[in-house]
Amino acid sequence: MDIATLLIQATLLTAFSVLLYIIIGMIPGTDETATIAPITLAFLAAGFDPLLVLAWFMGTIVAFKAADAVPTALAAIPGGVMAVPQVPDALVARKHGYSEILLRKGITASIIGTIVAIAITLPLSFYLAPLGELLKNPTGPLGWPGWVYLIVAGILLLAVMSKAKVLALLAIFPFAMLVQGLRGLYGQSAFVSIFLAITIGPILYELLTLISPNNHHLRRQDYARIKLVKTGKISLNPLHHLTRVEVMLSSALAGLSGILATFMSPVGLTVLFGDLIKESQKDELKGSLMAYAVRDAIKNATYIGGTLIPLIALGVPTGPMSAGPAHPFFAELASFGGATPREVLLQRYSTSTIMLVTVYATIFAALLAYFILIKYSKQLTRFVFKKVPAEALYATFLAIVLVLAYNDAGIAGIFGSILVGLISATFVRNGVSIGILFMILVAAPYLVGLLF
Amino acid sequence: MSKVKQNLYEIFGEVIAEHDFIKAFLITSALAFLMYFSAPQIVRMIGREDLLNALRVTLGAFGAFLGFIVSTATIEPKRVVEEE
Repeated sequence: MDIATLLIQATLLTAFSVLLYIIIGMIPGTDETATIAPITLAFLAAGFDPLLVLAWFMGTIVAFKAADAVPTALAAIPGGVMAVPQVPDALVARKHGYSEILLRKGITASIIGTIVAIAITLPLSFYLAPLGELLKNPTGPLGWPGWVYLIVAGILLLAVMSKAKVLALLAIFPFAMLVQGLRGLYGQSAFVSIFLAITIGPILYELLTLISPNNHHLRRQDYARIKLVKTGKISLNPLHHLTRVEVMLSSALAGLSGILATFMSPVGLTVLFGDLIKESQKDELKGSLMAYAVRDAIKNATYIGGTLIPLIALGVPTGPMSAGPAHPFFAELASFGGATPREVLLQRYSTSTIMLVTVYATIFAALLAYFILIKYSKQLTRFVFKKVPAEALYATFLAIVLVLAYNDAGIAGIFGSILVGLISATFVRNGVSIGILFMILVAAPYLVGLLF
Repeated sequence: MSKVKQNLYEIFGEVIAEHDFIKAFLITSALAFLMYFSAPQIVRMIGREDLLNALRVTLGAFGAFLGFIVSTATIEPKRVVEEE
């Protein structure tokens, strides 16, 4: 494929993914992993060109991460899990009548985070590439490949930093046994159905609670009431939206967290740096506005860095992002003759082509998302809240998961997904980070090997 | 179905109705699997049997997306939007 054709196709795909994921990102209750991973996986399992799927994926990240904060600013309702830490900041802004300013700051910071992350992590990925070969060789006392030590260290670190430390540590071996046990039953090293079951687990758990007699706590008498704040016309010039300090902090922390996300959790970094900024300010409003903007920049940067560094440099999933939403790129798929989309990507395209298409798709997505959100955030939020029923969205993702689980391991794959989904949800609901479960899935054969 | 007759539940901050969810789930799953299982006929029709595995998954996801459009058009969102 020549460069011009690639860029035209990347433009169309990225534009479509930005439009679609702005809508999905604004809908409350849509988890990033559950909405981004199944569709990316469906494209790759269908054998679509990995570079174009990467362009699509970058569009989904940029749009989702910028859009999920819009309902947070306008209605104090998070559009996704990553926007939850921004709700307290939004409430402070609302109390002082600063919701519109907050909205502008969030969207602008999110675009800064994207641009800084791509500028730092993509060149760094190519620079780090030799490290990838080193990580693949068996080494150390257990004879594991180097990357497995990294991922196990990541599991332990995340577990210790988790809200439920003991439960997270206790989850490691039982969950690895569940994964390997199911693979034994299927007679093959199934990945898709187990992976998707983890992503959809928390939603599946809640939906299954509806059919149990024990669901009184979820009952409601009336529809959800959503208060949208008033907004005026917003300038397109990004320089009007952030103070110099906010630009500097957003850029510096986006760069740093983009790199740290290779091993660390995006949510963890968003909470950590956002809270540090907030605590550093004496004035409550100033602290909240600054923290909100910085969190928006970090959200985009962690997703981009957490994907690109492992994808291009290391070649193995080393953190919650690459073992989670970006894992379809590392999975051995029948559509690529048993190779991973990542291997096909690097074989098929030169370094310069990958860089060009990735940078182009990401910057294009960022500018498109910025324009749409700055111009139409209020109208879009109103449209989404009034027209898109949550039932349709939950049902669609469940249907995609069912089809992919069936394709992976037949009827047994569907039942296995329900089992894995419910067990994952039990851990997640009790404070274990979902990133830990993704990383256990990746390291499961090695972890179970320690027991026998 | 009218608002009063439906059993409403709150999931992840969203209010959903039991019957509407079941309806949406049946529509999306039925269309997804219908498209998935019709893949062999479709590849035979276009004479590209080598594309079977790829098309199966794509058609399944496409079926789910069609289901999303049908459900969105026929189900009322359970949100009351008030503007300041």
